[in-house]
Amino acid sequence: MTTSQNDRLAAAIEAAQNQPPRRFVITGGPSAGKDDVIAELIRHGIPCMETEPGREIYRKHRQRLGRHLRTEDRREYAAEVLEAFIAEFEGHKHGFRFYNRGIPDSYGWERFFGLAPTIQLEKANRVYRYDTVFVLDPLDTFEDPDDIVWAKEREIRRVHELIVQGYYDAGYEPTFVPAESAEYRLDYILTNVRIPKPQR
Amino acid sequence: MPHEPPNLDDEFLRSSLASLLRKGLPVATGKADPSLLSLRAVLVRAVDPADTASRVAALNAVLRTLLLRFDDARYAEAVRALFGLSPGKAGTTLTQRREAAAKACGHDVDHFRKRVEPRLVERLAWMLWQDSEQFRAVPAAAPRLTLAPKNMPTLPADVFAWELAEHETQLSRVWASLYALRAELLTLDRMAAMGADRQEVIRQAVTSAWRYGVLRADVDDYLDAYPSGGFGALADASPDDLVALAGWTPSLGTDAVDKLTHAGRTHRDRDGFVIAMRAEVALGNAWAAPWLDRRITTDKDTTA
Repeated sequence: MTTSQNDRLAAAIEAAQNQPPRRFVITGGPSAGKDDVIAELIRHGIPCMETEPGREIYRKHRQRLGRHLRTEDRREYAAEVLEAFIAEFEGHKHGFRFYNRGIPDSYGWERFFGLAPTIQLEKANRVYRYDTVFVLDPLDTFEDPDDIVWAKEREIRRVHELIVQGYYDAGYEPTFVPAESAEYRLDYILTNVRIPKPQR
Repeated sequence: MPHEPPNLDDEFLRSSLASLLRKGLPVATGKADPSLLSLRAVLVRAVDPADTASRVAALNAVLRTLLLRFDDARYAEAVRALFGLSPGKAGTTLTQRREAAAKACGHDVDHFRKRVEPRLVERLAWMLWQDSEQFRAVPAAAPRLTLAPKNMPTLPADVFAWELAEHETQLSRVWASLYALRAELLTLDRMAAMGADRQEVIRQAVTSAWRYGVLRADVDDYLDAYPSGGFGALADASPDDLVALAGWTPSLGTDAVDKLTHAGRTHRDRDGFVIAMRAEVALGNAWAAPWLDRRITTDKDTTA
């Protein structure tokens, strides 16, 4: 049973390689459990973007500046992140692929800092369209004292809502993924895009 | 839930949402209740909060999000149909949407309209109120501290998480500097009131000026990073208001404030600050004079 179900998933991945590209975004605020879902995708050999390009670019900018990014630095950072997302998008030619955040996350980023979306972002959003957007509902960690150490839950929630709003602004109708285990969420996502679920 | 539900009987949210039912979603520009468009949840999400169309777009997104996450599974599909969110229901009449909603939850239409619909609208109003609470402006207040966890916390590898952590760092620095100035000002007030030695009061006044400069520099750095309109906890506060939280300080001109701020930024240590400000005799006198005057008055009072 396990083998046949996983065979079906492998067959679906292979068959999709001869078909036009389908792109699915997985997004959400910090503490939404995104990395766990991405890890599940990787574990089952489902094509996906492993790391969010923003992380490395952010590290590079901080290193170059020798300090925290200020308002005047954030445009340059955002432009570079946008370029990376576009390259990822264009690089994918066949089959389905999951993305660790997408171009419209930049709307949330800009709003986060009180900036208006750039012309480049607006243009990229019109040209590069994803097939489905999955928003991971925040994991309820309100009672988790660990969370309070690095950021208040209130601000985590604000960031999350701004990211969701960004996708609406970009003209998407996101699918909300309930706050459950990574396995459940992966199954939920795959069912939504009609890809066979892995058997565990 | 973080808060108890308020009594929404008299709340405008419920009546505003009920009035939206006539046309359903999406809300058209010019048809939205101005009160709904003024909710912080809407303003914060609008691309241009000054533009009505942008606020209407944000309101539509908020309502769609709430309907998609409606927290009563039995009625989730019904409430979406009622507001016209279900496929094929946008633009249909209220009667048609109500029929679809009643069918989705297995009720007779009449019963649904009289008994179920008001409760669904009330529930949605409560969700909207909760959502807005998350974006409510909070007065400047020091972050609440809690006991450190037993296990080392894990910060996610996520740029948004890093930014939030950076914000917490800078916020903590501002409050640390603010309380440091407060401590020095309290000491200075007490020394002046007790008629302490003149040189001791001057020395304490210089310490306070140093802390004042450092705080000004930290506030400026914070507001540079998190300007008004952004998400920063202190983004809407003015530097003067923040500094005033530490206690009373003499009123200084812009030039004097700039000099103290510059010295506070370039010299985080007291000795370096004193050397940098050594030539600023007039400024030093203007800063210390109120406490020295107070000390003299106290002296006279004591003598009398």
